[in-house]
Amino acid sequence: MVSRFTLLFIIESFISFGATAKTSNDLQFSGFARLVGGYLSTDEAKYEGYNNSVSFSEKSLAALQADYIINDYFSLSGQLLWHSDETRKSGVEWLYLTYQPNASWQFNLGQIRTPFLKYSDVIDVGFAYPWLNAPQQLYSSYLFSQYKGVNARYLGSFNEVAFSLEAYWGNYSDEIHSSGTAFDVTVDGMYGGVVEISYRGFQFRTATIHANDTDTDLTELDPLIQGLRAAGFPDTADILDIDGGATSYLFGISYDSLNWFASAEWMSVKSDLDILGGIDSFYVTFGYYFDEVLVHATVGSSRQSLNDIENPIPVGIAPQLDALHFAVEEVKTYFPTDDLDSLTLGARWDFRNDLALKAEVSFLKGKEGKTSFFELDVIGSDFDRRATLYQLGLEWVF
Amino acid sequence: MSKFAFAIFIISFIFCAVAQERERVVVVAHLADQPVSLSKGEIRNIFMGGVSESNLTPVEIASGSHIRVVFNTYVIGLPESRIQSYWAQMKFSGRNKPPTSVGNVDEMISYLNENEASIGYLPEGVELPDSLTVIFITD
Repeated sequence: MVSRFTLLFIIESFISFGATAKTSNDLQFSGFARLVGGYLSTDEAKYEGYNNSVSFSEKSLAALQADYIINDYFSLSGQLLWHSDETRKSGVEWLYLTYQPNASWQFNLGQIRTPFLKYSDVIDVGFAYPWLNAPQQLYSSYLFSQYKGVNARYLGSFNEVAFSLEAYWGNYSDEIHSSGTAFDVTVDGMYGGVVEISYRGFQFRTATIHANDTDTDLTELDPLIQGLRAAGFPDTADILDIDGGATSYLFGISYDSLNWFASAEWMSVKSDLDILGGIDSFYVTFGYYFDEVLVHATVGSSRQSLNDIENPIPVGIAPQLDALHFAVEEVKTYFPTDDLDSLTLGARWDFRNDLALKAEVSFLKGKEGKTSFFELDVIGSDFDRRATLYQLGLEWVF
Repeated sequence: MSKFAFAIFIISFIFCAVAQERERVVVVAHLADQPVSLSKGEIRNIFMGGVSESNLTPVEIASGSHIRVVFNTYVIGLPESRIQSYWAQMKFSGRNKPPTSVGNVDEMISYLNENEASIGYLPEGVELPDSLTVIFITD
């Protein structure tokens, strides 16, 4: 765990840099940082890395972005990110070349964040959205957050209707953390698209991701998989040998006005991977502005329906079969079954144009027997999957 | 005069006074050749980073300016904090950049005068150079 002093030192260094950042016509520096503290009401589980002691090491981060304009059509952008969460890699987050032949067309090539949910490509930029913790049911990290590849974006308008169309293709390779378990996941030929339509204060958004060739490397499971095949349970072995495809769809709608906003997103994941298939998630949020202070409420929910892994191995016939049976049962408890309902109440105070203070309380209600985005300290504990997360944070952009 | 009629008179007077005090913003452009007609929604799209057939490039006055607040309130229809968070999203996702920013009304007039196909906003009543055309006036 990163000490608070280290964290403060790094963020202070970024602030000093931001205050003195030089900008020329060709090279521009910008950045963002967030300092977020949180506390979970239970000692039986962790949620988003938080437990029942105050921690600033789960969501705090700082990033520096450089944009270099090569000529009228080409530019190069890179973003260095330092993250306090040990499950997130620090380093180069973005690095891409942009070709913009005119105001309507934009092409990017390089390492790019995946533009799926409304805020998924700026999920580290807390200043860009109202919450400290975006609805976990949709914004959890196991959906291919970035890719190496290309994208094309087209901006257009028709009278008062503005629209953008985006398509992308690339490869994904990263370590994904879900419910306390780490997986190395690679996706060859991931592709998708986004359509956004804006009319006055309304915005409609739909997006899709297709990851048909997904390969998950769970080396710890190899002996078990080999044992299952040797014992004559190839179907169960195939379920644990996670290779296959996944497709996600998103629909979102929002309305922004001078005094209030409302926003909702619904996401569906279909997959032939038994541990992932059949996820439906949504959130609805409403916010009201009292001058510089925004108060907001969000209801979120997720259901995962197709992850009941059958365990056909009989018990009581032979000690080796018993061992296999219980090994499969234990592995099942590690796979995410993220049914969770939540209510989040929060406030955001933009006390400067580049600084916002946020406070947030999330009431979490999972399902017993399911992971529900919790990381259990003791497998098989009788934790009722109910907890409250308290957070306080500072968001900054420069 | 009855009490009821008196109350109506007072309330009407207050509403009229509020309406009188509401400031108006003029949206002006340095047009290249043909005249351009834009609705409030189209102007909003231009200032929020959208493209327009008019090919006008938006110019804004830096935050802290009163006329910026009036423009954001009556044309964009969003509070300053939402506009700032919107541009943070656009900038750090690589999708778009905020409009060119100038420091005050005088700089806005000067910038628009010098740059063809630019569009900006000014308080109503400000004297305009011949190069600038009023596109829209708030209610």
